[in-house]
Amino acid sequence: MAVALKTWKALGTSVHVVTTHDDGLEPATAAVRKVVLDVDAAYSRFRKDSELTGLNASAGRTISVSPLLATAIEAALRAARLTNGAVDPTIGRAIRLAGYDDDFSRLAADRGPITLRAELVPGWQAIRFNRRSGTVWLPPGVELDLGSTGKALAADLAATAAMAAAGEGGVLVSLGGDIATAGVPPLGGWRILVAEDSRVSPSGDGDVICVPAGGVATSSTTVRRWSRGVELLHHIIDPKTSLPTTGPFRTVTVAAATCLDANIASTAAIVHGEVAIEWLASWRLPARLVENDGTIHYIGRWPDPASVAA
Amino acid sequence: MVGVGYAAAASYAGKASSNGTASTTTTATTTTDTTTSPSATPSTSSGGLQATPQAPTTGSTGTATVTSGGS
Repeated sequence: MAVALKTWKALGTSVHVVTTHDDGLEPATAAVRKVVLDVDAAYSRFRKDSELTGLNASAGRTISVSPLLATAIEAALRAARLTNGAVDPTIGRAIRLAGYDDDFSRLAADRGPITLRAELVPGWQAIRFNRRSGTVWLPPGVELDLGSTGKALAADLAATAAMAAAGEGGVLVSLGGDIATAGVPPLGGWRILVAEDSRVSPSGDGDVICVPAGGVATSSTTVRRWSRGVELLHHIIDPKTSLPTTGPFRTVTVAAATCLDANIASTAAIVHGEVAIEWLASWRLPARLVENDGTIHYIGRWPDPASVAA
Repeated sequence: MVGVGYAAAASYAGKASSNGTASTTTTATTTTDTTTSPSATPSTSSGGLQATPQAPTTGSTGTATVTSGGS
């Protein structure tokens, strides 16, 4: 089965659309572009005119939100619940204070040292969210960051929209390495190179897996890093400390039924640290974990290249 | 994934905000719990983390391989 590929930049990262039918690529790409634009307008933390920015500026008041932002908040709250708060959307203030306060491409190389204080984030339970009325109330001082779930959700939404637009066959959508699929896969499945950085060339060395359906996501402390004085910081925040995580795993990749579930699990595993393997196993999710020293662990039904070679 | 994803898309299809800004409601909402509508979707509102029925398999690079990595 032939495949067609389109690539461009959006949401501060790369977007890839793959279709199994040439005729489906153009309508699928158009559908993905629309979802990406809608997502950016709804829950970008860096756009002054986004809905999320407006919501964060309205803490203490009950706010009506669009169905898309409501869906994103609902997904973030589910992530927090399923991970016992390891993936918590109320890290917004913490990640801003850590220096990640603008689109990453615009962050200065080093804006000098900062002093960070370890403290609990406000916690997702403090959010009052009513799905039926589409309203949200944030406690004063609380800022939401949907970065841990928003891109993966967008990939799922985009894949669904792209499949509907393509009409036949199958589609794959990658938003910065968060991958969602829909429809009928190519023979043997969708080929995915697993790397620590989504900018690695797909033809590069590394583990390649084939997935027939669902989503694949990777979370890593080796990307989106920035310096403040002597401190090297990264974007995965531990809600228990409001600080970048310091656990034993630097990169985790998970395959799941949706990209959203894969990304919830991969991010939570980084935050959970020492108990990440046990936690992932409890969900029976195939996963690949890279320790800080480079040691790789294959969990559950993730294919171990060594066992295949043997 | 397909069933869950389409449900999520149905929820998203009603996106209406044209100016992209949140608006303040005039009536106070006293809801204190996270609630979901009858049409709430499994992928965003309920259920545990779901694995795919078929596990990944080992593959090789080829046409249209994509990279999953941190970003």
